[in-house]
Amino acid sequence: MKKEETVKLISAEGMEFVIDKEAAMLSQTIRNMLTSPGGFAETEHGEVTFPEISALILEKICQYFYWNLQYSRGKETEFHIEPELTLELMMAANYLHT
Amino acid sequence: MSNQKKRNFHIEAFKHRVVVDPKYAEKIWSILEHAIHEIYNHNASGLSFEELYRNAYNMVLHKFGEKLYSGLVTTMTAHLKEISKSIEAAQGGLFLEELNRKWNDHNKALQMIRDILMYMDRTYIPNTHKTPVHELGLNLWRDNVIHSSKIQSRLLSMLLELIHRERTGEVIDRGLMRNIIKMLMDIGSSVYQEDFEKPFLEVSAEFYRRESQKFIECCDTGDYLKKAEIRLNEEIERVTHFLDVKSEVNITNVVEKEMIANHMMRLIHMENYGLVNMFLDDKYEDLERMYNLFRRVPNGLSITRDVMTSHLREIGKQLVTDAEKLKDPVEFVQRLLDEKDKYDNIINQAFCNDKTFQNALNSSFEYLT
Repeated sequence: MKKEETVKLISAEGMEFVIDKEAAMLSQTIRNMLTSPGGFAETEHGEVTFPEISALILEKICQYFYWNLQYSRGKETEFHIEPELTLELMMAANYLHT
Repeated sequence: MSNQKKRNFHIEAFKHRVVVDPKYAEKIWSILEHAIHEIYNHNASGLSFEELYRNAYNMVLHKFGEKLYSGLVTTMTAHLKEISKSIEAAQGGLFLEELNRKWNDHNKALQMIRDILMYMDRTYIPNTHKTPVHELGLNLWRDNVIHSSKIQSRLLSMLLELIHRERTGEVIDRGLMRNIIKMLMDIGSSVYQEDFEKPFLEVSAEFYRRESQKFIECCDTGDYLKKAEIRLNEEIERVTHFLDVKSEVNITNVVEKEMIANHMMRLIHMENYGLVNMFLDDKYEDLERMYNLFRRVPNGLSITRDVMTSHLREIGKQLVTDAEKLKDPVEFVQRLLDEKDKYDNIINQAFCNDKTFQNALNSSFEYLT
């Protein structure tokens, strides 16, 4: 994975997830963050910290991004969500506008 | 085992409850207000988008959207008032440049602010039917800067003066004009029309009224038409370069009315230079120009046609009376055919083969025969 094409998402505990920009852009929020004309700190370093999202949820979200890309390319599989994660996942999805 | 899991599940949900009291909202709002200040001062690189977005998100989520929205309006208005003071302070020619620069700054800041407040835009605003952030920014700019008493009249007079200078032959900064005009269009087409286009058309009408008066006193029809054509093309080119494309129709109407329609009869019937003389002297280029200009005004062509018809009948009458003197039928017919040929050519080359003129020609000759 080339450096320029990736973005680092950091969870509350400090766990880092490096994923493709294309996958991350599925979140409107992340997309705005990275394309905003401002010169905010995130665009400079290519990394975004989410102090309110836990590593477990963030991991699931990254998995979702990739699953979504695969699904739109034709590979239609199921995306399994553990029930105890649903509430936090939904709130994170609301926050990230995914 | 599963019971315990369920209990854990509920406890975790409570963990997400944040303290919901006004002090909390105050704190978040002051963070956001500070951020907006920094953005307007070109200092955004120290800010974290995520932190600001999260703060705005939490405010709206915990029902403090009202406070956020009204705070935004107040803060932006205060900044815009400062900005308009600095624009007012600009001297002479720098006024437009300063306005342009501040407008670009404002747009950039607005976009950044809208991005941070995206959650509010998405949820609070549709629910309360308030104006979305971007539009709000444009409206506040319009109210506090463009319509501020000192700026509004100065802006208009500077724009009109630059256009006047260009009409008298000076070179002006077209790029700057284009940006300013585009700004007016972005704020709202009604702003463009009321604040600029209407006065522009009035001033232009006055300008062309005076110019056409000056020309008609000193020029013959051919020259006058040349000048009118140049002005018309100039205006069209000006529109493509820095005005709204919808203005083209309006300004060409003004030029056509003032320079052509108002003086049409005088041009056609001018002693020694009018339409009839053009026919007699085979002035194809002038005739073509006259056709192209007159077709733009109401009744332009019908009057031309009428004059041509009566002129042809005059020629015909002359031929007939001459023929009686000459008593040579072949000569008469030849001359008749020559005249018909000549006018066929004129219609073909100068009048674009216009059928109505062709018909008029034919009926005139029928009348003769």
